[in-house]
Amino acid sequence: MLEVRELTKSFSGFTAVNQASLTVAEGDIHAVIGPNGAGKSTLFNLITGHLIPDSGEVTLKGERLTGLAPHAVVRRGLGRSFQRISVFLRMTVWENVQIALVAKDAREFCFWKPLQNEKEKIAQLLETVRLEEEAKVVAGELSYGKQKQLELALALAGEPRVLLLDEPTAGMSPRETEESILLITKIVKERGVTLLFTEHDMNMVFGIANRISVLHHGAVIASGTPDEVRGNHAVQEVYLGRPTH
Amino acid sequence: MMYATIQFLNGLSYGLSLFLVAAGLSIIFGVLRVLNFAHGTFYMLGGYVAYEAVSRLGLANGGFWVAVAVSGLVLAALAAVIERLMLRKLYERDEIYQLLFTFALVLLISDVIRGLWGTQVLSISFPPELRGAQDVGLAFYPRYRLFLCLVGGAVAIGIWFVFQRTRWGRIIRAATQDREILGALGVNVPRVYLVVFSAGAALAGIGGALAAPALALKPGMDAEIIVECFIVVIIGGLGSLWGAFIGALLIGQLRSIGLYFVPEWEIVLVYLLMVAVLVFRPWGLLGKREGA
Amino acid sequence: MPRRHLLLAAAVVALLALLPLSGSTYLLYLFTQVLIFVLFATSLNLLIGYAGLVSFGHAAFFAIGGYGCAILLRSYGVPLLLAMPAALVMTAVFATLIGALCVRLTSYYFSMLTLAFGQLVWAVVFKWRSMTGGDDGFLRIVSPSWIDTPASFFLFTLVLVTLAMVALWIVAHSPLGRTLMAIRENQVRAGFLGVHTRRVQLVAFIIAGTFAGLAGALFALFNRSIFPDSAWWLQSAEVLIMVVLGGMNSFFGPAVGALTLILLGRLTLELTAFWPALLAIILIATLFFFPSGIAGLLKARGRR
Repeated sequence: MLEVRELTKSFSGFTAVNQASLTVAEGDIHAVIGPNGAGKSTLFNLITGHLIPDSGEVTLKGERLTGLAPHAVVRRGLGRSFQRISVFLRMTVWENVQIALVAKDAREFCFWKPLQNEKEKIAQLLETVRLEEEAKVVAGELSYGKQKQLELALALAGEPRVLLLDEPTAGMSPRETEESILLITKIVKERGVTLLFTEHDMNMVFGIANRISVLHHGAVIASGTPDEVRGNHAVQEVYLGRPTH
Repeated sequence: MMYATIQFLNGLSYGLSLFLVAAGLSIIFGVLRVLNFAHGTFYMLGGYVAYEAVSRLGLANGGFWVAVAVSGLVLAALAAVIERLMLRKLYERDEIYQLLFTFALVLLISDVIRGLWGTQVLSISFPPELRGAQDVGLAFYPRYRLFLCLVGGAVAIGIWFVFQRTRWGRIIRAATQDREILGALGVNVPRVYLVVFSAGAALAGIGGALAAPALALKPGMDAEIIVECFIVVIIGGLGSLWGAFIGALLIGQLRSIGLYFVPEWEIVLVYLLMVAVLVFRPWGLLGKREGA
Repeated sequence: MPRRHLLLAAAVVALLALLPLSGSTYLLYLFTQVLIFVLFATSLNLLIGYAGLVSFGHAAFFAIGGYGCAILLRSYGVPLLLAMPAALVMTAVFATLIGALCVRLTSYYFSMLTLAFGQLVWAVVFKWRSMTGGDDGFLRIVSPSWIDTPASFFLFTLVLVTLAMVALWIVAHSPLGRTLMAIRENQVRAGFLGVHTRRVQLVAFIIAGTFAGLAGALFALFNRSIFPDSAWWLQSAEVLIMVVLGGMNSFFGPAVGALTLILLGRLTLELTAFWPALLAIILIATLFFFPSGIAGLLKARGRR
């Protein structure tokens, strides 16, 4: 489904991502883990077009994504949520989702007729992410956890084939994390999306992922099933052997 | 050859005086994140204040230099009052408010100038020490314009020195990178803003005072200079002082050439350069990619 | 957009349609001017209020529309029904060229560039004496006989402005309008939802500019003349202040601002020597004390 081949990106001499490769098959729940600074966010930014790689390729179902601008990447079937919450703060939850739908249908240039209120679609999305009650609430007034749910809704509105989640449970309490995990698994089942996510919470990772890739200093040092990764010596060294910086 | 030298020096003196004003605009934007539309009006006010001072003091006994200093002081004081009492209250708000506020200042100050000095074209004579022309080898060139070149160059070097070698400079450079952290490090950020805004305004005022003998003081000069400053900043890249320097010099030369070949329309050449930059390198010659 | 605002607007239009019965030429002239600026200000608000892009050079399109129509009418003898649409097309073309350069980067660049291009248009109008009359202005613009009287011209303006406002209302409430607001809120996120942010802003710019051109054409016909100051930044400042004073967060705010400012202008005729300073004070007062404009004040009162 999603193929990342030898992506490399350097910033003024510092190599953030080093020949990283991974493969995400359809229906996978693929986690990318690694110590802080390993390059996880940079890798995501390279895949989604927010950064342009120095070398390497990204393809989605054979279609080339490398070098495309973010909005083009989205159009090709990739959805993403952001680590730092990025929603439309002064608009209501309902309006937020509405925009996402407008964008998905490429109706953003339509200026000759009033905006249709796609009640069912929006209600459905809100129900999927468990935000039906907060439809009229201004996004900026939501709690952190609910804003993350809104993020998910925005990413899902585009009906992506592959969903990238950047540290979906960052900053959450254990209870919120559990709820998040349930929500994400529910979404994956209901919508049949392929999931690629980064995480620090190992419980979540080993709980739901069926494939894991480990990133260290920008390079993928291991990639496989949870058991394979757990047993991998290089991974053990990185996580247990030496103190992480 | 003689014409070319004169053309070049004209361009240089114009470009360097333009840099004087554009530098203030650039620094104010870099630190306060405020696009000071009133910067051209500060320049204009500086010129008019100098005119007033000269009419009262006369040009003898260094009267002109006193006038220039007075311009700087008046502008610094005015800017300080504006920043402290009004601009400061808008920092927390949407950037639209600051933009509209500085725009309102243009209307207000230029109208006050019009009320105090009228709409006739005024001018200041060259100070006695710098009258006449100087032999620069290839041509005779007005001493005053040579002086402008020197001053412009000195200011550019001075700014570079302050930024690179002094504590204040380091603070200012840090402020352009990250204002929040600066406060956390114990720097009195409001005071930095006040000083930078006043200093920038004073620089513009002095620029106006110095330019007055060479140009004319007339209504609309603020619009002219602010548009040119904007073009400098767009060509050079918003946030880059070096870019502003190069941009100002380029515009100076382009204007000079334009005045020779297509007088009355020389400004179009400048616009064409700006359009070219926008099409091929929109973030400016030395600007950062992906905007400021 | 509450239904009652629309009903109120329709009522206002109906009332205005009856104005010629009053027989007062003064009122007819006054309201013709008000209508023209209502259109001008509302077109600008598409950029300021909806897109969050502050244009300091909107008068450029006002002038292009005005001079375009006037020149076609008088210098080339083109009939009005052709000249006006042609002028609008011309304005749209310039809006496309200028807009493509202005929306390329950040909103600061946008503001700087709109001022710069506004002044460029002024300079061209000012210096191209052979075509525009330069400083002397373009005079003796004659409207066709069917809109030659104060009443008929007023009704003509009323019809055109009403139609234009309906169109602008539709645009503001269209998917494009909503997308503009989203881009203003969070441009990066909008881009990452698949929106072509720059192109959407450009479309808005073209629409705003074209309607400003319509206002300009009406203005030229109304005054039977047009001068370079229609392109000078003071004109851009005036319409900008109408928008802010009236309220940039509502559709009809700018209309209220236009009415207020024009009435104020008439009342302070003796003080108009310091009109720019007065405008500045009004703007500053609005920014500090009632940033949502008059419309915002009315809305707040209505809620209590």
